[in-house]
Amino acid sequence: MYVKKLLVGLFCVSTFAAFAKECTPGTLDNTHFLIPGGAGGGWDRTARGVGEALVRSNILDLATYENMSGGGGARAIAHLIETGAPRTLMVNSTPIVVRSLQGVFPQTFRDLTPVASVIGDYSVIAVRSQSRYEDLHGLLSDLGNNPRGIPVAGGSVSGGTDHIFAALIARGAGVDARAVKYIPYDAGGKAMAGLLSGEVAALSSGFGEVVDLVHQGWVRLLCIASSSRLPDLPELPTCKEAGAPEALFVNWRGFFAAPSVPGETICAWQQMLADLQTTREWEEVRERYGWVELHHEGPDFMALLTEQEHTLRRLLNELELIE
Amino acid sequence: MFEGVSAGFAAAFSIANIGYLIVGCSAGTLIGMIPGLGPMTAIALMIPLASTLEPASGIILMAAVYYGAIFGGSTSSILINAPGVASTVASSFDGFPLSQQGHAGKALAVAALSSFSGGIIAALMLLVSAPLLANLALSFHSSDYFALIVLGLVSVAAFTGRGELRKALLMTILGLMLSTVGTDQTQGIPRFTLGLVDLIDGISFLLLVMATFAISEALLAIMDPARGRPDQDTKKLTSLKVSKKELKDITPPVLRSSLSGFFVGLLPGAGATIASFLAYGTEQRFANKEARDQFGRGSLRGLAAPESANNAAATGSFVPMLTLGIPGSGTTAIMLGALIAYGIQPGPMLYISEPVVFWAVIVSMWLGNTVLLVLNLPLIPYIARLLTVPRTALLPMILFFSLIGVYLVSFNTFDIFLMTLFAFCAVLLRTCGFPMAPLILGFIMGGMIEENLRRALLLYDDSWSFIWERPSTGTILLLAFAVLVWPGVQSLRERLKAQ
Amino acid sequence: MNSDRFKVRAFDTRTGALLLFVFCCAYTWQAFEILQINHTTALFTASSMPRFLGFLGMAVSLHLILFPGASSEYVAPPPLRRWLLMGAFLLLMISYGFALRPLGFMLSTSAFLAAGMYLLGQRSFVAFVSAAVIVPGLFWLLLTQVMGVYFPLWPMAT
Repeated sequence: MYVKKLLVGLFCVSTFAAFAKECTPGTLDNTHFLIPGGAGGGWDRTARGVGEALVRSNILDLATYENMSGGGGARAIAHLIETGAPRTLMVNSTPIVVRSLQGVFPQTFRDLTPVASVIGDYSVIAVRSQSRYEDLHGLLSDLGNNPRGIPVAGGSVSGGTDHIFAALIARGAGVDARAVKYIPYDAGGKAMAGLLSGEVAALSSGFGEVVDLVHQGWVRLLCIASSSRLPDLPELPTCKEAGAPEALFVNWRGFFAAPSVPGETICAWQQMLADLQTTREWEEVRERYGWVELHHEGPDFMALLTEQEHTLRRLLNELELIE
Repeated sequence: MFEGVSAGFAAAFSIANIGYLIVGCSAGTLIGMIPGLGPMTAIALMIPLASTLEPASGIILMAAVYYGAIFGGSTSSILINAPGVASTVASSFDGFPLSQQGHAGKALAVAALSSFSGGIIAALMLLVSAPLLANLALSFHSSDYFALIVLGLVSVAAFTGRGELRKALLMTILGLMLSTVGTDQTQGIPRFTLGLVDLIDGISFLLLVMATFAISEALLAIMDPARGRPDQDTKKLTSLKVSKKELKDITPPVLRSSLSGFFVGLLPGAGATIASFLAYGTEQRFANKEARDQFGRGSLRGLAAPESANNAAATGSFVPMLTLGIPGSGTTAIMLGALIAYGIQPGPMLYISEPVVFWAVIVSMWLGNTVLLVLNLPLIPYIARLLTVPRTALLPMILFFSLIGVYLVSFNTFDIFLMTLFAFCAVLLRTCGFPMAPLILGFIMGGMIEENLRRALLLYDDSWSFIWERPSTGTILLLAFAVLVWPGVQSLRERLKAQ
Repeated sequence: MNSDRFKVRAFDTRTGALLLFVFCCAYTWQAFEILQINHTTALFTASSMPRFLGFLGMAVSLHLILFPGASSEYVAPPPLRRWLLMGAFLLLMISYGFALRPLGFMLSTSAFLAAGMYLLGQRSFVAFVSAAVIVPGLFWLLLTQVMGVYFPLWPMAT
């Protein structure tokens, strides 16, 4: 136990050396979680799930939660920056990058302190089990021949994460982003219904959202947007292998703090979340919701964010949705 | 299959599960009565508790809370014209007048009985045909949904029995307009947000309903002391008596509405709200002249129809969730999450691999409905007594509950200001004789109609050919046309007969 | 009958229709301000439905102004005094919105309820206490203890 703390402490020190910050983890008894959305939503479940596991495994004494929805997250972000709350962690996910680029709010993740990501949902391409596409190649060749004839559904708006991913896949067929016939639905569930009804040819979604239907035999996954195959599903090729090398995309969920929060607190939180990864309670929570672990701290997390921003900016430009 | 059913029965009838049923129904009713806290919040709050239980018990608890919350929503809809749940808005059209006339007890009793019937009939149909129905639901395309919602909108004609078609139409258009405020769902462009952060996500339904129904009603009551004072005869107030004749009168509408409600609830994307409006509209359309005039003035049919429909639809919405893992509404989405949390995979395999859970859930629907009836009927006189609270206290409290109810969802004080604005406008419009109900209808349907139409157009490359290329779309649109012209035809026939 | 058409009543169909007509005009104007994405070849854009609705609304409300038809059940509008009372309540609600976060739930709700009751004529101290203090208190308990909703009772930062 002591050795682990020492190692984590050393890790903190070394990773923060680049920022020339002293990383001596402070003590944390309680944390306040700020949720930029309503009760029951994805962010809400993530924050409460993390909080629950932290408390039950005794890493934290008390976790409190506050919902603050509005403006797709704008209110909570503004609130966090303005009040500089020293004990508050805000949960967020990929849309923070997308919406900053689209100008939905003036701030970006750089105006906050990224603490760590905890889970991630890799994008996938799914087709009905009756579909004639056995693998991604089939879909890609049809896309190459007649992009307008292959509608792809997604649970987000035009320019949203599912659309972007569909465009990334289409590049594997040499198809321009704008030529993709993306059909937006306002939720993953409805998009899935659209796929199963035969209205669309394929679905761009997150692994966690479709995995159960795969097990049931209703849909087939053509590829997953991770850099290596998932240990739970080794027969599913990565999109890289399957013919769309640019299609690396994950919808991560993680935590941010106000920019004015001192380094020791940040380090303490990172240690807290790192400790969490190995607990049984966290594993239970993850299994409950079907979450895949994606733990990146500090600079790694920042790197992920920056890279994602770069990809999204490029594609949103191509789609002519931003300047 | 029969061992599954009997195992399900056995599971459902265990003492513990009956206990959870009772707790769930009571908690749900209480929570549903508070404007602002509906089934979604109630179930979401139950999940931590439910996840500590066995899967079957947890689902039973949550289903009980769901039904309880719907009934609770009906209660506040009928008693104080403050429907906190979208699916109970239609119940207020005749429920509130009934309670204003001093028949609160009867209204609540009819609501309870209709809900019960709707739930039972739907559960029976669920039992018999779940897998078949899932496939039917799945075959619906965006264009079909579009047609279905047009059909729902045509029900607006139902609210205009007394020749005020244009006013109702205008209010529907206003509702459709309000639904466009926010971020466009298809392209992600902000519309009518006036540069305000708080409008980017649009206007919440709850906010609109509370402002135009509850708050404006309270304000009107403040302005007119004679208004909103129901007959104080407590005996009549708290009497649950429903005469045999009245029961016979509402039976056909209940049966019809339960069936239509179930089918509408099946479709992911449609739901209890549309079902209740459709049922109300249909019953009004197809009633004879004498009965039709009663709609909006305290018609028992007008109350019974939406009540059976919304409960039947709620049960129907379980079908795509249980058999496909596709949630048809926010509430079923939460329940789905709970099922997955138990490691249960919904799908056609569910009733093969986990028959006990599947049948326990279905059986618990019957039980839930029964418990709700048994539990709530005796409580009705006490609930009805709420109306005898002096108005000096009641009115400010209604205002408070409405405001705080909405605030609790978003924690944004902007909502309070917006509600005040809407309530003021609603008071003005109501004084000029404009009905609020079509506003709500237009608002609810607006988003869905636009979304589905644009998707259909996108899929068909900007051509409207889906109207004739897809027989289902064409048929439903034809049906909508029929519903629209039927009363005209009916009155023509009556006139011809008179000659 | 004809002279009735031009009689101006304060609150009747025409007034309402006029208000709505003005609203529809404003709405339509804003509808044309909606951002257009140039490259989209789609027939139906984000502004299509608003424009359609705007024009339709203008047409129907105009029709209603010109041909109001027989007003069903004309009810005399309440006297000015009562409108002022309603106005007072509107101001009260707005104040509640402003006060809620700075003053905290308990204080602002009690003040709101007490003021409301007073405006309606209540004078009994017991009534004030029971309604204006006990109700918010119970409500808060229900929310925070039984249902676990985070809801601070006292003043908090904006």
